[in-house]
Amino acid sequence: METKRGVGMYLMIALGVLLLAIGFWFFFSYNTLVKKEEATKASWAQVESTMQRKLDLLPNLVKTVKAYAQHETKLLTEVTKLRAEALKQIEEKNTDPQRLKTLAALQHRLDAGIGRLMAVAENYPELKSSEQFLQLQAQIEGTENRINITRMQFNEAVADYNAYLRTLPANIVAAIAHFAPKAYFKAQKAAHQKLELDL
Amino acid sequence: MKHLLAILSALVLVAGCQSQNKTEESKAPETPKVRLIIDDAYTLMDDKKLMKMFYDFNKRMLEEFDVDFRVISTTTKEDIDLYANRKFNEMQRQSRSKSGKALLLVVNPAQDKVRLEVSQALEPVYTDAFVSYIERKGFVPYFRDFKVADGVYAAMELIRDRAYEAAQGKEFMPPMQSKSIGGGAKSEAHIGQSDSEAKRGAMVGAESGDSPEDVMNKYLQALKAHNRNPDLEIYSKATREFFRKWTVTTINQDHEVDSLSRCPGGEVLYGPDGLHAVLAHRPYDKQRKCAPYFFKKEEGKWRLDIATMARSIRFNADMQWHFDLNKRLEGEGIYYAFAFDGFGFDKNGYPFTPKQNGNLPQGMRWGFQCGAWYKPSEKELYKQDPKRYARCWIRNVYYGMPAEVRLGLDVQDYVVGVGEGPEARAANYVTFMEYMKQVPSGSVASVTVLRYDKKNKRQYKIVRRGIAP
Repeated sequence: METKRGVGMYLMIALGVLLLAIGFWFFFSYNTLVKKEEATKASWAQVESTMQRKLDLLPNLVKTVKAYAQHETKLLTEVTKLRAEALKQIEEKNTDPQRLKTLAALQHRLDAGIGRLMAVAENYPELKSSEQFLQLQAQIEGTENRINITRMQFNEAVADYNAYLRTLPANIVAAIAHFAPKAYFKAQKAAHQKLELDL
Repeated sequence: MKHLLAILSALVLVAGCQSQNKTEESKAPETPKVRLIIDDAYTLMDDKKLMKMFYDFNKRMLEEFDVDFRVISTTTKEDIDLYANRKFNEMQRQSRSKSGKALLLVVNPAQDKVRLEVSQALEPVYTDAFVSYIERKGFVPYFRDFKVADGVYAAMELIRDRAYEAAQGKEFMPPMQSKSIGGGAKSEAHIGQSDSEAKRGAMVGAESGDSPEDVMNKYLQALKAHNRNPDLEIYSKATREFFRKWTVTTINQDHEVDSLSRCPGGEVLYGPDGLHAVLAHRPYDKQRKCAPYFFKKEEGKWRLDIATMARSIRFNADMQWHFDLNKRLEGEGIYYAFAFDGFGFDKNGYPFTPKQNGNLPQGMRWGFQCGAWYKPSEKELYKQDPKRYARCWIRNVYYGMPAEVRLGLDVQDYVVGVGEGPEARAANYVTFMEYMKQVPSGSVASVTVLRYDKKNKRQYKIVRRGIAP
């Protein structure tokens, strides 16, 4: 009788320790998943903020080019329309794969439009050498660089999160707590997208 | 019991492994000594003068503004934007800034590009537009003239000026982690590609009736118009030669206009020969940001002698002027020394008003005192005929007097000769004192002395020349 009671007690202790360990693993994995997911959100916020910054520069660019190149109305109107579409997209604030694809495509079209605007300056020497235009050009190039860098940082955060999501025992915790993999924000390749702007 | 122990051991092992992994991830690898400048393109480090200035500048930026400034020259084929950002974040793992303020200047001669990468903490101060502006107007002009090291130095000055303004206006952000998310700007470096516009500008003539002040006004207008023509008539011949080789940027000119507008007026002092003048803001020690301007009369017209100014006048980080004491009395410099009578110079060349002026012995022409010395080989001869074999060593020089200001004599100079060319001769005590009494006012006095160089621990001969009072 004494021996049976002793074994039972040991089993209870072992079970208790096991449950504690499982609880610890769950706690640790859950917290790590949360941290990594938040890191992806934070880096996405940076991407959106730099995109917003670029969109904020566009009215000035359109105004400056218009002052020197009044005849380029079609191009200027197209860029203004694309800007409005991009602003709407940024307001949606989610990172599901379809939305990221749409945003990337829109960014690409907008970049093409801005590129055409910059090319227009080549035909107007006064515009090209104006300090205001040069500074706007520097600011826009700066935001494009930031978008590129923050996009890379976002993708790194997503890669880190997704990789952890697939490891044991985090994948079990993720399934229970409904953590889902995140999509990457891929830049559009120029060859895949036909320019739609008509000069 | 054994099974229980086995289970417990297994659990501890697994938990330990996980935490070990975390420790290994978070432990930084052993980092090498912090490198402030990486010169993989071999464009910078040959210039020793620049290197010294760079390290001094770097130290000041860190001490005054907590900004960690680094420079890389490279020939990598990687996109300069991505390269700069990657290198920046790598280097900033060992940031010297406590508040996340850092800058990285990347020069790539192979791609002919330059980029200034800016940390997040400094983005409100070094905006993209500002960085682009200082690149285009401030240091790319030096790159065009193949003066990459000078261009980097010009960049440092502009960066420092902006930091100073930001500190005054409290534009710096609160402390944060030092990283860059792509702030900054890049420009074409145009290394070695001369710019046909670089030396352009309308001719500005000088008239016989123009005073130095009139010439100064014409110069100011030329600066405002960004006139970089080196052959303006308002420049002396030496100055035209100087400007043909010197790189002048729009930003240099704007700074000079700024500086001149803060120093209106001034008085024109004319030299005894009637061919040299100085536009001065006296007392010099109360108006340290108002540098003197030199004028020389050539072909009956007053002209700016910027070549002599550039040789002898320097500016510190607060834009206070001072002389390079080694250059002050070189060449044409002796003809402008008269304008500084009454002012002493400290060891760094900053003028000051001496306190002793009221206590000077009456009737002193030059303001020095001699002690007697003799050559060791002439010891016995000296004992027999001290008047003949005694020589003068400078025991005392009164600050602000012509011996210091015009002739550049120093305490413990040993006089060995006077005169120049065919009139040069060895001088004992008596002949030296006679010479100094009799050299005509306004003419060039010339004294050869032995001087001791403490730094290199050697004695050397030097000829001191100056216009006699």
